[in-house]
Amino acid sequence: MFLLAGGAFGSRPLSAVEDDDRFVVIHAGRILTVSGEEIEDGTIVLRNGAIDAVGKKVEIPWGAEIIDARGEVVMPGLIDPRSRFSLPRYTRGGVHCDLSVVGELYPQDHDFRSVLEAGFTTLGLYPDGAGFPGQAVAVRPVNGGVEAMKPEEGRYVRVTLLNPSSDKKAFMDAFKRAKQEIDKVDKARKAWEEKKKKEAEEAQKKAEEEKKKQGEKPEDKPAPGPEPPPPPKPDPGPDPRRGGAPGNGTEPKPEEKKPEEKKGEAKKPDVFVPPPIDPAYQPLVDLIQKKEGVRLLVEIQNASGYLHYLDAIERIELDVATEFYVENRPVPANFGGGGIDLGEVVDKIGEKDPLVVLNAYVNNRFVTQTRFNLPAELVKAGCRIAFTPLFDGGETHADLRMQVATLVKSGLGRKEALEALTLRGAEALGLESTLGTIEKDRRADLLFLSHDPFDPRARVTRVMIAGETVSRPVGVQ
Amino acid sequence: MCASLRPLLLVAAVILLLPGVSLAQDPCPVCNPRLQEEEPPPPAAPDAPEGGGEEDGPETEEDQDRWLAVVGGDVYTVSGPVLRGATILVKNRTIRAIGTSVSIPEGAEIIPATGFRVYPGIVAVRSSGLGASGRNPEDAFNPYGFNLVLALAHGITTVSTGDAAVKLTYGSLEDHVLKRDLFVRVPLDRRNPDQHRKLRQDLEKVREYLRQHERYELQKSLGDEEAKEPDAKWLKGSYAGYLKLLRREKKGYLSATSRTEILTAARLAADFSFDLVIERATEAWTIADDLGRSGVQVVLSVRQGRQPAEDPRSVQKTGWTIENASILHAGGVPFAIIPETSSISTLFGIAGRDLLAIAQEAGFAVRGGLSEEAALRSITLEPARILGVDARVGSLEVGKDADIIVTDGDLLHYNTWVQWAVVNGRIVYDKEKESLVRHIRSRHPETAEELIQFWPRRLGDSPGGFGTEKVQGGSR
Repeated sequence: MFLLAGGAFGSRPLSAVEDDDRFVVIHAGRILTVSGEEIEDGTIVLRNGAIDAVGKKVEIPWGAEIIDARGEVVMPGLIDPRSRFSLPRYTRGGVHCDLSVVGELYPQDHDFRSVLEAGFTTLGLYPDGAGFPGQAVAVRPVNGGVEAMKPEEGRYVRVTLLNPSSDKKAFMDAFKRAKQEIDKVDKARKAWEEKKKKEAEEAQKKAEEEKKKQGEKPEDKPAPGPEPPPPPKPDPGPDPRRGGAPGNGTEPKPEEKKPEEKKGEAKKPDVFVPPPIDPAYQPLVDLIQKKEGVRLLVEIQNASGYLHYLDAIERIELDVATEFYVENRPVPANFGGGGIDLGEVVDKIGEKDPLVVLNAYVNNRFVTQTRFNLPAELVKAGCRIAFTPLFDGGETHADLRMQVATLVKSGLGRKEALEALTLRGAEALGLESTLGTIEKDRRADLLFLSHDPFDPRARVTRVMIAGETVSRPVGVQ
Repeated sequence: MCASLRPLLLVAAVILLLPGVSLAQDPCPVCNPRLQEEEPPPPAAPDAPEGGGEEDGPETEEDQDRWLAVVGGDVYTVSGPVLRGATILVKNRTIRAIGTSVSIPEGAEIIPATGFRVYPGIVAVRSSGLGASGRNPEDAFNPYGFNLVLALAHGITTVSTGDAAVKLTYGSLEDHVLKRDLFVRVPLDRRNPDQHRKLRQDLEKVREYLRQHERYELQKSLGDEEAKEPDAKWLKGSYAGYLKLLRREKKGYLSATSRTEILTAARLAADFSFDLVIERATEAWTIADDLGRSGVQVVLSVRQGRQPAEDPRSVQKTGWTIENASILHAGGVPFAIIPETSSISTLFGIAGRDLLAIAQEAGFAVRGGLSEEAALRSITLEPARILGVDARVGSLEVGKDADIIVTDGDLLHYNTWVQWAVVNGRIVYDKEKESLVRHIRSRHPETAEELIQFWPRRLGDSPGGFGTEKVQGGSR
C-alpha cells in the first residue's frame, strides 16, 4: 500500500493498488481532454494502460514511469472511422452483413507507420463494394500482425445508398428480407408452442381416461403427469459466425432445421430451437430488434440521396438511428461545376441528431461559386461530425489535422473540431466508452504534439496506445 | 366556336338562373363551381375535417394545413376566363378558391402577385434530362437536381419522362409521380411496310381474343357451364401492350411526318378503335379536317429544323409550314406543343430550341396564326389531356393541384421571367432567391443588392442562402 504523508495533494485519491500495477505519469504543458476543459500544466496518471486520473494536481504514485511533456500538448489519439488503408480495392455487391473486413487482414501485409506518425491510434477499416458489403472493424494501427491490431473491438455495418435509382430498392429489399426472417422464427415458435399445448392437453386427457378406467373419480386437478414444458430458450443467434473469425467470402447456406428433429433425443429437455436466420441478414435483424451494439453507417452523396433514404426508411417502417458518410470532395474555389448540394437538407439532417462522417474540406455550394463550410453547417444544424481523410494513400492521414485547422479558421468551432477528430470517430465505431477522450477509465491512447494541434508548426512527438509508446517520430527536438 | 365566348355565356346563364347570388362573390362556375360552398375557415380557427367529395391532398407532415395565397395577379385560368386582380387560395396541395374577394386565413404564405400574371404551370409532354426515367420514377427522381431549377425557372412544372408523368417538386419527394405507364408505342415506320402488315395482324389477333373473351363472359353470365376461357398465355410483351391499347386503358404513341403516314396511322386508330397520339405531324396541316374528325391527338413542334422539303411534283400540299398549329386548331385537332429538342440540357441542345424554350415555341405558333388562348392552352391543358392527367394539372380550377407560375409579362414572350413557381402548393422557385438569376432585372430594383464583383466569394460574403453568416472564430 502506498500512503502519502500529509495528503496535501489530494484532489483525486488513489484507488486500491495491487503490487503489479504499472503506472505511468505524464506531465503535460496542456491537456486537451475533449470531454471537458483544456488543462494547462496538468498531469495524467495511467494505470495498466488505462487513464486513472487527470488534472492539474494529481496524486503521483511511487515507482511510476514519468514522462516529461511539459512543453507539449497531449490530446486523445486521433480516430479515423472509415479507412481502407493498405487494403486492396475490389467490387462486391449484394447483402453480406456477416462478412467482416477482418477476413481481408493478412498478417504481414500492413505497415502502419505513416498512420501512427500522423497521430492516429484507431482505424476503422471497412469492406469495399456496394450495397451491404459487410462490417467495418476498429483496429489499432500497429505493425505486428493481426493479433496486435486487435480487431475485435468496435464495428458497424456499412451500407451504400449513393444512387437512389438503383440502391434504394436494394436497401428496402434487404430490410424486408430481414423482417421475413424474423417472421419465420416467430411463426416457428408459435407453431411449436401450439404443438406443446396440444400435447399437454392430450396427455392430460389420457391421464384422465386412465383414471376413469381404474374406476376412480376424475380429479379436478390434472394428474401429476406431464411437467410443464420448460420456457423456450432465447434465440441463441449465430454470434460466432457474425464476423469474429476471419472468413474469406463464402456464404454459409441457410439450413432449415425443423424443431421436430430435436424430438428424437428424448433425454434432452424439450426446448424450442428456432430455425437459423440467414447470417447475411442477422445484423439487420438485430438492428430491427434494436439490439445493443449494432450500428449502421449509410453512405449517401447528395441531398437527393438523403431524401430518398428518409423515404425508404418510412416505407419499410425502420426506426433506427443511423450514421452517415458523405464524401465532400473539395472543389477548387474558381471551378463553377460540382460542389455539394447537401446544404439544402442540412436542417433536415440535423433534426435527427445523427453522426455524420465526412471529409474535412470547404466546398462550393452546388453549381455556384459560393464557398460553403459543410462541416460547420452540419454542426450548426445539430449534427455530430467525425472526420476521415478523403483518400487512403500515404500522406493523407498526416494532412487531416491541418485540413481541420482550415475548417476551424472558416467557422467550425474548435471544440467540435477536436471532438470530430477523436470522440466522434470512436462513437462511429461504438467505442465512445473506451476511447476518444482523456478521462478516467478510458484507454490510454494519447497523442503528444509539440504545439496546439491546429498550429501549423505542430509535430507529433509521441503516440501512445494503451499506455505503450508505439511511435516516436525521429527528428523531433 | 371561339373558346372565350363559352364561359361568358355560362356566366350569363348562371346570373339569370340564380338571382340570389351575391355579386360580391365571383359567379363564374368554372372558377367557383360550388357557389353555396362555405368560405374558407375564419382566421386562426382550426380546420374541421371536410365532409364528402373534397380532395384536399395527402396528409401533411405537420398537423396543420398549409395555406398559400397568390394575391392580386391577372389569373389566366386556361379553362376559363382571365380574372384581373384575382386571388388564388391554396390549401395543402389543391386550389380551394379563385376569385376577387377570397378571404385568406391567418398564417397563410402570401405571394404578392399584383402587377404580375398568374398561369398554370407548363406541362412538357415529352422531356429528357430530368431524371426519373425507366422502371422506377419514384426512386430515380432527384429532387435537388439542377435541371429542375432550370425547368422551374422557365415555368415548367410537369414533365413526361419516358413512361411516367412527373411533377417537378423541388426539395420534396412528396407526390411527384402523377401517372405511370402512359403510352404504348405503336410501331409504324414508312421505311418498313412489312411492319405495318404485321402490326395489323397482331392487332387483329388481340382483337379476336377480346371478342372471344367477351363471348366467354357473356356465356358465363348466362350460366353456360361449358364456356371456355380463351387462351391468354401468348399475351405477353408487345401483345400485352396491344391489349391495353385496344381496351383503351393506354394511348398509342407514334411518330409520323408525312401526310400518308399520318393518314395511315389515323386510319389504323379508327379501324381498331384506340386512342392515338401522333408526334411531329409535320404535314398534318394538309389533312387537318380529317384528323380533327378522327380524334387523334397531336404533339407538334412549331419550328422544325429538318423540314421535309416541299415536293414540287406533288399535287397535294406538302412540306412544313409555320401555320401548322393554327390550321390544326381550325380543324379541331387537339395538339400540344414542345420544342424540337425535348432535352432540358442547354449544354448540348441548341440554345433557344431546347425544352426551356417551350413557351417561345408556343409564341411561334401565334406567329403562324394561332390564337393566344389556344397557344397557351397547347402548353398547359392540352398536354395534360394527352398525358391523361388533366384532372389534376393543366389549368387553374378549384379542386385541381396548385401548380402555378407567376410571371412578369406574357408567358409566350421571350422577355418574360418566371418570378415564382408553386408545385403541390409549395413555393419551389423564387427568382429573387435563385442565385443564378436574381441579379438580372431584380423584382425590386430600388432595394436590389449590389452585385458582388470578385471571385471567388469568401465565406460569409454572399447574401441569402446557406453558409453565409460571417466567419465566427472560436467555439460556439
